Amino acid sequence: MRRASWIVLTLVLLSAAGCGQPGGDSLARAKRAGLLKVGTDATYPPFETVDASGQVAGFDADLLREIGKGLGFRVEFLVVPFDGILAALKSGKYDAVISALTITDERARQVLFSEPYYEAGQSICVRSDSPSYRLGDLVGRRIGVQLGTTGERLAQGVDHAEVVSFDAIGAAFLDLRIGRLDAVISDTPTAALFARAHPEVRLVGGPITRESYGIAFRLDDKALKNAVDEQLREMGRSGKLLELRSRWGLEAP
Amino acid sequence: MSRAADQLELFGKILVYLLPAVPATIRIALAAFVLALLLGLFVGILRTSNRRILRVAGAAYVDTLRGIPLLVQVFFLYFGLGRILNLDRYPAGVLAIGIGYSAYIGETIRAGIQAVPRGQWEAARSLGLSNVQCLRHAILPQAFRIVIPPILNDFVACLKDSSLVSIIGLRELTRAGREYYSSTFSDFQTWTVVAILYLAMTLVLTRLSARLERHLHRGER
Repeated sequence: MRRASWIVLTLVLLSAAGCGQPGGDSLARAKRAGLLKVGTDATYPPFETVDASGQVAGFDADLLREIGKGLGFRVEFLVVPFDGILAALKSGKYDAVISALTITDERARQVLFSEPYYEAGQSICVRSDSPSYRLGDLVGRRIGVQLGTTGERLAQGVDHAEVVSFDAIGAAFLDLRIGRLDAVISDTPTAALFARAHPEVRLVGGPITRESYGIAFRLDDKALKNAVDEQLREMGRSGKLLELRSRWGLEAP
Repeated sequence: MSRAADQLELFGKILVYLLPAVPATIRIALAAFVLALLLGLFVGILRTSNRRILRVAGAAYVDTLRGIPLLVQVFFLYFGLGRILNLDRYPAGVLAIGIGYSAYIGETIRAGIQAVPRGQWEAARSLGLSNVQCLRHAILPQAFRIVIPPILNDFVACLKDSSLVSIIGLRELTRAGREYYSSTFSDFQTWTVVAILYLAMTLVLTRLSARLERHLHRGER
């Protein structure tokens, strides 16, 4: 028993150490350094991918670079797996996250979101020769998703479905193509892009959810959030947002 | 103090979430290791053969598999070869870990066979046994005794490396940890519990192996 309480004490102390939150005003720091570090999972076209030269490219990347231009800092992208993307934000590995990240209540308790900058939804993708499954038809079937996404949450709600969570959504699409999966649930623009490139798969109807993407900050980084929101509004007014959208083939909602 | 209580509750929640994934990890590691033992025994015998061609084949097998990171072998078997053969995640994961480890087991078995004194072969031959009979009845039983500690050591490593299959979406302990922290963002606490669970499994194994070793060497000096 004595031993057990030692273990417990050690755990509590360790976790207290692990909870240390980086304080300070990230906006002021970014302006001073001329640089903002941003986490992104660059496996999600057309929002973020790594291009041939090794640079992070996509709608999200261009959007944040544009915001940085307005606020007077460069943006340095750190490419990280999606499932740990907010945990690493909280522990201070970077100061913002842009990664086709849906604003959810659960996430909003942990991080601060900018105003929505894109309206998306989840879509079901199937093989071209398979029936047009709706969400309810996926009972007992194999559904591919990306780990930690809203699509994964949606799939987990389907009775008896075997939910296969991948590190990158591209692997799920490839598995769908060869029949190791019956369907893939992902954000509509990403699914549409893949289906356009690969005629063996197709989308079933339109989006089945409505979701808003937001840029995430630490809960205490209100100044940075406000400054980014101001830039987003400005880009909406000036038409820059629409220009970026059409550059990446994202139709206005 | 309430903060400490909250922390304890969180650790409890994580443990409840992760415990069901422990049997999955054990299942994957055991299946892979049985495969590794069977292949490894074969490779080890090849490596000690009198025939040069068999020795070369065994060496090529070991060198190839030992020279490629296990993670890459997992990717290759699931995403590469698996796509052509339509291998599912479970068989692909078990095959990758099992085949990868067979190279190490093969080397351990070879060392064990070579550690049996030359005179044992000669004695067995002089009794009129064939080469295969010598191996089966005289050499391998002695070699097994020698290789049991290093093989259990390999099993501990195999259990830990089973975490690599989390990358292909196979649900085991590491995967369950990633699932948990991706929705709760409690990264530090989650990985602490995952680490402790692995440690618990490997400690049980090393204790068992120490006991087995004592048992095998009872009556020796």
